[in-house]
Amino acid sequence: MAHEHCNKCFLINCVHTSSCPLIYCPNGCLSRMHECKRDDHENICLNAYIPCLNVNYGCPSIIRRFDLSRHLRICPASITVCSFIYNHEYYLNNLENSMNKNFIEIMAYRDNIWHEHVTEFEKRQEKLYSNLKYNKSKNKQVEHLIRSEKYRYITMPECMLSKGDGVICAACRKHLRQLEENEDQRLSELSEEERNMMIDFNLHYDKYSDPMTIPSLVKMSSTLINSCDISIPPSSTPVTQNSTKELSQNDLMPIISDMELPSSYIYRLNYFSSNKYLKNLTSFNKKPRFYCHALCRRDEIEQHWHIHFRIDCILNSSLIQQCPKSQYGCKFQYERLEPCQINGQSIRIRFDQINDAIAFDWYPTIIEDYNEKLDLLSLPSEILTNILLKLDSLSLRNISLVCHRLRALCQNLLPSRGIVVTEHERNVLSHGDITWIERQKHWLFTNTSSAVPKWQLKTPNKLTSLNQHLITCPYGETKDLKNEPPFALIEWSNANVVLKPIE
Amino acid sequence: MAGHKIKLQSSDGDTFDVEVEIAKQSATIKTMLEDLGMDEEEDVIPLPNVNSAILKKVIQWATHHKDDPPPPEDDENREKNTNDISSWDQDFLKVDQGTLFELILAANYLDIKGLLDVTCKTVANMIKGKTPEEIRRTFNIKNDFTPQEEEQIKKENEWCEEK
Repeated sequence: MAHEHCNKCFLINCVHTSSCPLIYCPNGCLSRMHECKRDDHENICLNAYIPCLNVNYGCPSIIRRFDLSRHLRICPASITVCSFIYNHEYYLNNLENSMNKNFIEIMAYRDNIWHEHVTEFEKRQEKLYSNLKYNKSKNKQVEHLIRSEKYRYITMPECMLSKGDGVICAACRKHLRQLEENEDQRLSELSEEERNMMIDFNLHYDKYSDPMTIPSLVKMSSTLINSCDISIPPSSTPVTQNSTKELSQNDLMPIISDMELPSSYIYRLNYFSSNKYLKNLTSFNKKPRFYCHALCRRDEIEQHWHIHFRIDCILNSSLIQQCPKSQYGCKFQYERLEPCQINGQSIRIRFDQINDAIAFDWYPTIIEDYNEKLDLLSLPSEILTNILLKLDSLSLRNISLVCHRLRALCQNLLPSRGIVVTEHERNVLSHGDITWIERQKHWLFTNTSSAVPKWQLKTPNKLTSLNQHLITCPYGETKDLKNEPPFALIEWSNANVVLKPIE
Repeated sequence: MAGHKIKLQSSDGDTFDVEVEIAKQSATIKTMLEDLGMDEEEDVIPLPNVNSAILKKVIQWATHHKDDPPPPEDDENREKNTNDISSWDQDFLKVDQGTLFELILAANYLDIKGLLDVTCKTVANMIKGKTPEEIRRTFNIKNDFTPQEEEQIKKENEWCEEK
């Protein structure tokens, strides 16, 4: 608590220092204050070390306050989800001279896997949601039933005060008591046969607990209604447990924090890496709409978009050029563009299936000129780290699969180069409410690859030259129209016949 | 003062005459000169970690780059651009892997930031965009994962932090 004087004093050369001396900020930000206000200053001091804003989402960084905005750009917990949407058409035949096997096939292949993935995901989501919905309606029913033995089927009046703990307002209680009395009377008037039916029904209540078959009104207790009375009936407990179990069997749908698109799915990469059985591309639905939904760190999204821009956006226009006669059925097409050489090497494009990404191999020629004494792994760790820091995230993903040592080095880079994603687990509390609790943090490298800086027109060879093709294009033949019969426009000639006499 | 020379001695015992300004691109040599006051021409600086062939290459590189501005400070941990290697450097670094790694070690020992940077970039470019298997082939690295481990990390290439 500040002294009375200090409370209002902001002079940096204040002379009233007898009670409370003036000090400089211990963090070295050069501000001066009465000592009793040091703690207050900590809350605004630019030099103070604070945890990152995203600490709850898993960012472990402790940074100076003035560094925060710069840090947020590269914060591992500050994740964006790519919202790119595209439609592609695929003409899978006769792609001549593609740079890397068959570029359009690569794309079709990727989109095919993606398509299967989404279909499967939607199916699973549907199942999961219907499960949840079902449980939810059941829970609701549970809350409004009073579970005393005698009157177990009397529905609780819908009371404003009721929060599931049995506390209801006086009017509702009166109403409830009325219902109980009616029920008592009804029970006393039951015939023996009816009584047996009732007992039988009670015995099999659990089986009939489907919300549709719960009897609308059976009966009630005059005992004090409190929370232990409403303890969840045996029937509902197993249900919730079952459902949790079912869900976990289904591989709980993880929820990603900071999620913008509902169908983003963290395990998309895993799906790609495990998908080995593919449908034949020709049977693949060729005109679905694709969403990217890749996770990127904030500073990577630009590079990520570059790849969309350079490949996905122009695939059907300027990247793959079709014969001008394609409208008549010609299947000829060729790749117009290729990446420029970089550092004296031509770049190879390939599809990295296990990482679901288009990869650019910057140095495709592998020269196996090993040195007996010195290889990559004999370099000291600091140098290896230096090299790793120059790699893009996709390459880090790949190099972490090479050997134990490199994987360990990559792991050290996770806070600065990776992303962290929180996985939440659905948890049903004892009174039926549902919360999501954090289960795990997943640290990973994204699949962003560094974009090719420049593209160039490809020099065609004999096979791919459009000029050459047009000479021989079977759809390019002109017909000699002189020898063709004139158009016979039946309606028109009829009309002429009719019109002439009028003239 | 231009033209003033010092002598550098490699691990093989060969000595090289180098202009001070060129030699000072190495922070290690610069510190030696400043701290130890080795100004006179007779003084020989021994470099026991660098052999003659590599030292010759390093001097060649330093001579070409003597007028370069000092490299800017690294700011962040962002991925660095690796496509800005000058064509002279590209030709200079067309060497076998052993030499490349020795150059890296020498640049690290002599603390020549520019050379270390460009050599590391070259190695990084050799890694970029390759599959794990291709990386192993490129650098002759042995796969020391067991098949089960490999299957697992391939499927879930991530590190979990339990709550």
